[in-house]
Amino acid sequence: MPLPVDQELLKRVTPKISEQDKQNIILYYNGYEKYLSEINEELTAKLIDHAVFGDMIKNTPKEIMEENNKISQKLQKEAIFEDKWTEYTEYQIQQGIVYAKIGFSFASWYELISMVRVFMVPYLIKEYGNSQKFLDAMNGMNYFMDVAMGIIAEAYIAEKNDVILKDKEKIRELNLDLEQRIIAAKEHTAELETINNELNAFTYSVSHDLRAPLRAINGYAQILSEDYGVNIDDEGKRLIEIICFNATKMGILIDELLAFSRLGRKEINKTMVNMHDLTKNVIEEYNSASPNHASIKIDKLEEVQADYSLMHQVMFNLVSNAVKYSSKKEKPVVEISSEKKDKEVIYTIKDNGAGFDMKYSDKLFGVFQRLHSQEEFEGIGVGLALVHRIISKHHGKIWAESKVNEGATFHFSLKTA
Amino acid sequence: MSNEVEIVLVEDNMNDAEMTIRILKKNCLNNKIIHLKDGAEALDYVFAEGEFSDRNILEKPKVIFLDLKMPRISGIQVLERIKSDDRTKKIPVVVLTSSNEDPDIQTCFDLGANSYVVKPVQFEMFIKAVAELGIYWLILNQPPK
Repeated sequence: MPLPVDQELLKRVTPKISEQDKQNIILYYNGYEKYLSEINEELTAKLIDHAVFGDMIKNTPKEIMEENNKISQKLQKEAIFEDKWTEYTEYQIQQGIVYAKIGFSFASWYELISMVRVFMVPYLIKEYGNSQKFLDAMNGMNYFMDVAMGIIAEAYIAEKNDVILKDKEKIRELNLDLEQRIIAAKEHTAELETINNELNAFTYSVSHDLRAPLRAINGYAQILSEDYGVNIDDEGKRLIEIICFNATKMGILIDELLAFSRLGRKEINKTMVNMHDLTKNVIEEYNSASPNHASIKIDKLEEVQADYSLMHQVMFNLVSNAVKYSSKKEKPVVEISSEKKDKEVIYTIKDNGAGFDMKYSDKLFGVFQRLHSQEEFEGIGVGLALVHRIISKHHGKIWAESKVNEGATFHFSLKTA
Repeated sequence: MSNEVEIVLVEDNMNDAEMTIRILKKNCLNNKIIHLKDGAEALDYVFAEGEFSDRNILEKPKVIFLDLKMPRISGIQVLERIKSDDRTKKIPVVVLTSSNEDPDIQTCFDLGANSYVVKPVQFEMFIKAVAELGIYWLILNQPPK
């Protein structure tokens, strides 16, 4: 495995073996080499059931294991007999890096080496008997293995530290990024506050400044009519009337626009609303402001948690639409009902009026979007947009079905849970 | 019959002023209206200063119709001065304005306005409003001495 090795580390951990140690290691190695196959067999048999190494053995193809062993043996021999310790050290450093990278616990590796030491003892006795050579071979083995373990340990720690440093750097970068994002978010919030304040000022201005000229247009047209009426023919009077009508209309438009924009900033204040009484009030209000010949039927309506004044607005708009769009029928009928479902209440307003073409239904709740001309039915196109906004604020849904000339049915749902 | 002014109309919009005066005249409430064109004039009149320094400050009008949005000195400032002075605080002040924005309404009543009326856009409604105001404040309401 051609892993790059830090040259500083290599220089630092490459061992310097004394002559005595060399001889001892040779004694050990000769014994090891002689009984190599038996030792490997015993080791494999012991490890196959090991928690960590068992899987490694089972998952590594035999050829690869044998290849690795060959390389390992070659490097060991060259180090021990030819003093090629640098190459051997480099190999062990690479081992250490790999263990660190694959998350091997160092304790497992130490455990393995301890096992080999234990296995070796009987074979060394076999080879050297109870003698000084045996002791020297033991010393050689322990020294050799300690050296190997030392190198692997150093490499393992260096690799882990490297990773830690890299992680720290990453965290630092992420923190910087986060700081920048927070600054951006704060700026954005400040910007939004400014825009909101400007919008409030704008609305305030509109509320006041646009109304005065309209009042003048209306008023002076009226005064003209009053003071000079005798000198004005029917056509002239008609023209004056159109002036007044449009000024009034513009006043309504302004009011509706303001209501719509104000709604966006309004807080919802929920209470238990008696929708039945509320709707009855709405109908009375509507009828006295705009007398009509519609027959409005209300079923018993479910109570619901909602903002009273906003619901009033919703019902008012829906009822006025229902009556307006059925006003051309001989017998306009509006039916209002409700249905309690599992986690919501659904209110329905049905009329038998002009209806609309379902293929334009996605424009139904758009601001200033209309599905009829001014000549057919007058209107601005804000009523349903307002209703939609209110229902959305309550996290409810609103939808409608219709067939042209066969009336329209509007439903809206409000959560109960 | 004295020359007292009964209605003080403080209005910077000439059209609104003309229409208001016309309506008041039509309802026979015209005799004693004075039209002041901005906040500074209004304060001079009420406190008998400047061009009105020969007025008797204790001769109080029956009602002041006060517009809010005026240049330089605003209606709110005028209201505050009238209502914080013992000599003038009892004069009924009716705020008559285009704005129905809530902060204005709150402030006016906090300062002691007697009434707050939004000028309608539709002329018939405007006529009705002014006529009713005139009748109420000049005839029905009993001002303190």
